[in-house]
Amino acid sequence: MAFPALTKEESRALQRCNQCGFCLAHCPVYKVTGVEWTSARGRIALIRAALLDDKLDFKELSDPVFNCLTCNACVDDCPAGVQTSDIIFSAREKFSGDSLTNRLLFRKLLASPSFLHKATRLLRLADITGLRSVARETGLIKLIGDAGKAEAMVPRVPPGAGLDRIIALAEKIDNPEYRVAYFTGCYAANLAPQEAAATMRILHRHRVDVVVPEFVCCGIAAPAYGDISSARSLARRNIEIAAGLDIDAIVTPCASCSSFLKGYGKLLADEPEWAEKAASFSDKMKDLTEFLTGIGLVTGMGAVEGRVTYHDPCHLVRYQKIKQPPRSIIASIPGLEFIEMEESDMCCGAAGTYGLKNYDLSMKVLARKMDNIAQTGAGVVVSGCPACIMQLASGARMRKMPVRALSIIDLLDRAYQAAEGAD
Amino acid sequence: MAKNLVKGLTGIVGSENILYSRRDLLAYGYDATQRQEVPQFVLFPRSTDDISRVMKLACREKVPVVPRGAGTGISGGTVPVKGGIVLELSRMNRIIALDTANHRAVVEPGVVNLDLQDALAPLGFMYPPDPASQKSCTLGGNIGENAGGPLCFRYGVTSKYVCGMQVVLPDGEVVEFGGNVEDVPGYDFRGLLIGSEGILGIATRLVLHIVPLPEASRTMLAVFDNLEDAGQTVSDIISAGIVPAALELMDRRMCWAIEQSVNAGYPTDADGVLLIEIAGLADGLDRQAGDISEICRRNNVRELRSAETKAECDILWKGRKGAFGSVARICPPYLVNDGAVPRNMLVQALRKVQAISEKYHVQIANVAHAGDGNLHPLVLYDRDNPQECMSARKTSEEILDTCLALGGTISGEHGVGLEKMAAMVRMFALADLAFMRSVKQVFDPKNILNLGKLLPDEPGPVAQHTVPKTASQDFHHMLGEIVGAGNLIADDDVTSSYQVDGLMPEAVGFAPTTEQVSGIIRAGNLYRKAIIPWGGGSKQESGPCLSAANIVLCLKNMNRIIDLDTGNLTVRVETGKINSDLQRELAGHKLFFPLETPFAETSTIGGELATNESGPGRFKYGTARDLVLGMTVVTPSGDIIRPGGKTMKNVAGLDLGKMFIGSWGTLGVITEAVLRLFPLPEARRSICMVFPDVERASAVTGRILNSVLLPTAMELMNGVAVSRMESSSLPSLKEVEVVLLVDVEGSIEEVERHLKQITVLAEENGVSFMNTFDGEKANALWNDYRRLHRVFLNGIPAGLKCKASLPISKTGDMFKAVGEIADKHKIEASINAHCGNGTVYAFVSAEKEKVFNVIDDLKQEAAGLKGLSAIEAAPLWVRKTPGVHLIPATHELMKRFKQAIDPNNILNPSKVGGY
Repeated sequence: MAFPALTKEESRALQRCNQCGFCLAHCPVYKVTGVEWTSARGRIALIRAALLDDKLDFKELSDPVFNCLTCNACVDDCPAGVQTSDIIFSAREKFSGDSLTNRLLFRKLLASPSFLHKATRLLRLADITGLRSVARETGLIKLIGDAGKAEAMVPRVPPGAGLDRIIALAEKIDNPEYRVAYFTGCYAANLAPQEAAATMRILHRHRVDVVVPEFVCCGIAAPAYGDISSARSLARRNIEIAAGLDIDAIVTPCASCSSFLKGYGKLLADEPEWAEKAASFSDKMKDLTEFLTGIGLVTGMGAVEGRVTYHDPCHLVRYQKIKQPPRSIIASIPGLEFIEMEESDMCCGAAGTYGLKNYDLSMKVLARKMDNIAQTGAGVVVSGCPACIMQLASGARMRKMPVRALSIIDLLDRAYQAAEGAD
Repeated sequence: MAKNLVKGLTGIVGSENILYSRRDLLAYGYDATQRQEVPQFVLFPRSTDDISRVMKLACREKVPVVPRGAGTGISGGTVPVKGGIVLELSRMNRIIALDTANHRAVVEPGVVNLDLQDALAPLGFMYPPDPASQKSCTLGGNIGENAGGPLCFRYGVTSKYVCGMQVVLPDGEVVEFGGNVEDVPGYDFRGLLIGSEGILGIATRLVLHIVPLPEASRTMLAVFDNLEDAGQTVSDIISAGIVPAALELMDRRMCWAIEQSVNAGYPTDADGVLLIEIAGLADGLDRQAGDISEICRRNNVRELRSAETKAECDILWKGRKGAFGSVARICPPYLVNDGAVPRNMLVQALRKVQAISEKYHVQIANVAHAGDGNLHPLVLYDRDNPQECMSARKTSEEILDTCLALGGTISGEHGVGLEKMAAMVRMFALADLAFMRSVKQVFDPKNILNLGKLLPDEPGPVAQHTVPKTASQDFHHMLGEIVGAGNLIADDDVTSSYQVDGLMPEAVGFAPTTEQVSGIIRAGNLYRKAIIPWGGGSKQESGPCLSAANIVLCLKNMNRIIDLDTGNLTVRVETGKINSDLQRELAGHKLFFPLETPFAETSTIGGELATNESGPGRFKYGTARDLVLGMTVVTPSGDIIRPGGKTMKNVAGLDLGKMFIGSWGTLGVITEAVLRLFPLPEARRSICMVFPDVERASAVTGRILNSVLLPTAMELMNGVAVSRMESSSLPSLKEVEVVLLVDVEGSIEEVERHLKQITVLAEENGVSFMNTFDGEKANALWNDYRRLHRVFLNGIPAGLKCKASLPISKTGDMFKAVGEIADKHKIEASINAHCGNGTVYAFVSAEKEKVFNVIDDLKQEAAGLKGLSAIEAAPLWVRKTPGVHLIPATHELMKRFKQAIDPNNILNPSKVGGY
C-alpha cells in the first residue's frame, strides 16, 4: 500500500509546528502516558518523519494517527496555530479512507436512518434474547479486540426508539415565536428517546415550532476513521433535506452533531455548487444550549435538589467555544448547588467512538476525569454530549461511584417537570 | 552487545520504562530547535538510584547519555547527536516538600515549572524563574540551562534560587551539592552545575528557594514610535532606582506576529512597545506607576495603557509568552538568537540587528528582556530555499558577533547547546575553553554525558605555558624580573608581618597587573613554590591551615576602577580595591555595591569574593555569587581566564566564576571583577527593637519572613554583642533580652509601610524598647554592627568565631542554644544572627580545655536543627587540631578537582579541605 503524497498545504501545515512543546501541558493522552509521541508535537514530528523526511515507515504511524482524541486542547493554546486535529484527520484519510469498514459504516449504515434503526433494533434483540451475554461469555466478543473490551460501554438499547416516534411528538404551536428544525442525531433517535422527548417538551415550552426532518447522520464519525469523502456526501444530503424548510434555526442537543454541522461550510468550501448552501446551513446551526440561552429561558422551573458539576464536551467548549450557556442553564435551576470541577474542559476520553479502538487509553483519560468529579462531591455530572455522558456513566459504574451522568437537556426538563409536579 | 545492554537497562528501570522502537525513539530525538536525531534507547528512570545504576552501566559500556526534561530547550541541548541513551526525567515529577516557613521547596527534576507555581500560589509563595515555556518545561531543565524569564529582571535567574541538589555524576556516584541551608562549606559545585547543560551531572532532587508572592502588581504597555525612545525609557526607569518585575521590549514585526496569534491588543504600527510590570507592596505602587508614566512621557511615548483587570493583564502577558510560537505563524522555521549586551547598549544592538537584516534581506522579529539587555532576534527564513537558509545562518552569526562587539555574550538564557557551539570559539579565549574542558574531564573522565554540547569538540591548540625568559635560574631573581625588583620584598622585617598559619614566607611580591600575577604563578609552578594570594589580610586567621607558604602574592596595588558603567550599573574593578574605598567612589555617583562585609574598611574585593564574605544586606541582595557578573582569574597554571562579563545574564559556557567565589584562593587568583551596582535608595530607616527573649524576637522575624515585607536586613544580637558594640544608639540589655535590628529601604511609601507593620508586630510580641534611625546615624549604627566581628577578634586573640548555617526558621533556636552552651561552660558568648538567612555567629573566648567541647556542642546543636556549625576564625592551635574543621560533603570531588586544576598544589595548599 503506497501512501498518498502530501499536498502542498498539508506539508505546510506539518511544518508550521515549531516544536515549542506548549502542547505537552494540555494533551490529555500525553498526560496519562508520559510518552512524547502521544503529544501533538510528537505526533506531528512522527508524521513529518514518515511523510516528509522519509525517516520512518508510514505504517508505524497507525497509533500516532489513530489514538489522538482530536479534542483540540492543544490547538487553543498553540502559539503557532497548528491545527493538529486537521492534520490527524487528513493523515487518517490517507491511511484508511477507502477501507471496507468505512464503506460499510459510512456509506451504507449511517447514510440511512432506517438502516441504522434496524441495526440498533438488532442490538436490542441481542440484549433481549441474551445473545450479548452469550457472546461475552464465550469470548466471542474478544475476537474484535479493543472493541470487545469496550463492550460494556455500548449502552442497552431502550424501547421506544426510532425517528418516527420522535416525529410523532411534534405538537402544533399557535403563534410560535420561532420555528426550528430538530436535528435528532443518531444517539437520541436510536438510543435515547427520552432525551428526544425532553428536547421536544422544552422547545414547545419556549413556544418554538419544531419540525423533525429525516436528516441522515451528521457525518462526524467518518473523518475520525479517515473517510472525509463520506462525510461530504452525508453533508450534501442533510443540506438538501434542510433546503426546503422555512426555519429560523437548526438545533440539536448533541454537541458532536452541532460542532460538525457548523463545519459544513468549511467541509464543502471547495465545491462551487455546494459552498454557499453549506455555509448558510452552518449559519443556521445552533447547539440547543446556545439557542435556548440566546432566546432566553422561560421561567417556571421547579427545584431540583443536589450538588452538580459540569463537564465541558470538547465539541462544545473548544470546537464551538460554548462554555457559558450550559452553566447559565444550571445556574437558573433552583435548588442546585453547582461546583466547578478541576480541568472541567479536559476530554473525558470518549471522543466519539475512540474508546472502542483505544480502550486502555480511553480509560486512563477517564480516570483523571472521574478523580476530578469525585473531588467535587457532586451526585450528578452534567454534560452536553451523548458520547461524554455514556463515558462518564460507565466511569461511575466501573468505580461504583454514586454519581449520575445526565445531559443538560434532561436536567432542564426535570426542572420544568418539577414545577408541574408541584402544581 | 546491544542485546546485553537492553537486558541490563531493562533490568534497572523495568520493561515499562524503556523504549527502543524506531517510532518511539524518533520522538525523543528533538527539542524546540527542529533538529532531528535518533537515540538508541529512551529510559524513564524512577529514582536517583535508577539513574545511578544506568550511569554505571553506561560508563562501563561507554554509551553516551543525554539527560532530558520536557525537550522545550531552544539551543539543541537535549538532542542526542551521538545516539546512545536519552534519560527522560519528566516522569520523576513529585513535589516532595513545600516548606514555606523555611522558604524551601524540594522537588524532583521532572516537575513542570508552572506546576510548582500552581502548588505554591495558594500558600502565598512563588518560585521566581519564569521562562516562557514554563507550562511545559521542567525544573531540572531550568537548572541545566540556568533559565531566566521576564521576572528575572527583578528577582534574578535560576542560579539564585537553587540551594541544593542531589546529583548523579557521570560515573554513577551520587553526591550532594549545596544543601537546605544557605552556606555549605566547600567549593560551589552547585553554581557550576547550574547552566552546565547536562554535561557534568544529572540533578535528581532539587532544594529550591521560594519567596512570598508580591502583594500587588500593575501591568502597563507603553507604545513608542521610536525604538531609541523605548530604550531610553528602560535606562531612565532603571537609573531612577525603580526595579520593575519585568521590562519586556518587542519590535514592530514581533507585535504584528503576536497579534496574528493572540489578540493581545499590541499595536502593529509602532516601532517598539514595552511591557512593564511593577510589583511589590501596594503602598507606593501608584506613585511608582506615575513615575514610570512620567518617564515614558518624557521619552515621547505615543500611548500608555494600563491593564485594569486580571484578564487584561493576562492577555498582555499571553502575547509576550507566546511570542516565539506566534512567529511560527508567519514563518514556521526560524532561528532564535539569544544574545545579551550591557543593558544600555540594547537599542544600539537592535539597530545593528536591523542593519544586518537589511544586508541579508531576511526578516527579523525582536523580543527582548530589556531590563537585562537580553535580546531574542528571531530570524525568519524559508526552509526550502537554500539561499535563505544560508543567509539566516550568516545573519545569526553576525548578530552574535555584534553582541560580542558591544561587550555582550552569545547566550543570555537559552544556552549554547548545539546551536552556538561555533560562537563559543569567538567568545572565549583558548585558555577559557581549556579550563572548561578540564572541568568536564574531572566530572566525566569517560566522556559519556551529553556529548557534543556546549564545548566545541575539537580542542584548539592549548596555549603553551611559557615561563618568562630570565638570565638566571634563581627563583627570587625570576620573580623580581616579573614584578620589578621594587615590588619584591624578601626582607625579614616585612615578610614577618605576612606570616600566616605560623609559616614565614620567603618573599612578598606586589603584582601591579594580571599578567604579573600570571608570571608569578607560572614561576611558582616551575619551582614548586606555594603562592599565597593576599588582599587586606583580614581573613588570614580563618579556616583550615596552609601546608606551605613560600611567596605571598599581594594584590593591594591592583586597586583601580577599570570601567564604571553607570548606565549598565556595573563596575569592573581590580580586586585589590578596598571595599569601603570602592563604596565611597560609588556614592559619588549615587550608587552602591550591596556587599557590606564585616571588614569592609580593610578587606579587598578580591579577598571578599575568594572567601565568600557577606553582611546583613544579603537577605535582600544575596551574596557574592549573586552580585558578581564577571571576573578575570589567573588559574593555578598561570593561564588568564575571563568567566562571565558585564551582562546581567550570561549562560555561555560553564559558569566558572561561581567556582572561584568561596574557593579561598585555592583554584585561582581573582584579579578583576565585574560587580552589579544599585542606585542608592530613596529612603532608608533602621529599626532597633529590644525583646524580652529570643522567642519573641523570632516570632517577629518569622512573621516578616512569611509576609509581603522585604527588609534589607534582620539582625539579632544578645546582650554581650550589644555591649561589645559600644554603640550610643543601643540600650544595654538585661539577662536574656535581645536586640533586633531591621534595616528597611526603598521608596518612602515602602519604608513607611514596613515601619508601620513591623511596629505592630513588635508590639504584639512584647517589645520593650523601640527606636528608628536614618541618615548618618543609621550608617554609624550599621558600621558599628559590622565591626562587631573585628572588635571581638582583635580584642581577644584566643577567641573563637563559629558560624552556624540553619534552616531559616531555626535561627532563633540556634541563637538560644548558643547562649545555653555558653552558660553551661561558664563562658561569655557574643551572638548575632542574620535572621533572614539562617546564619548565627558565635564569638566565644574559652580556656584551652573547654574550646573543643564548645565547638562540639555547637556542631551537635546545629546538626540537631538540620544545619551545620563551622569554625571560621580561631587561634592557630585550634585550627591546626585534626578533625576540628567540617569535612565538606563533596570532599572527594573537591580533591579531584583541586588536583586536576592545580596539579602542583601551588595555590594556597591545604586551605580548603586540607589538600
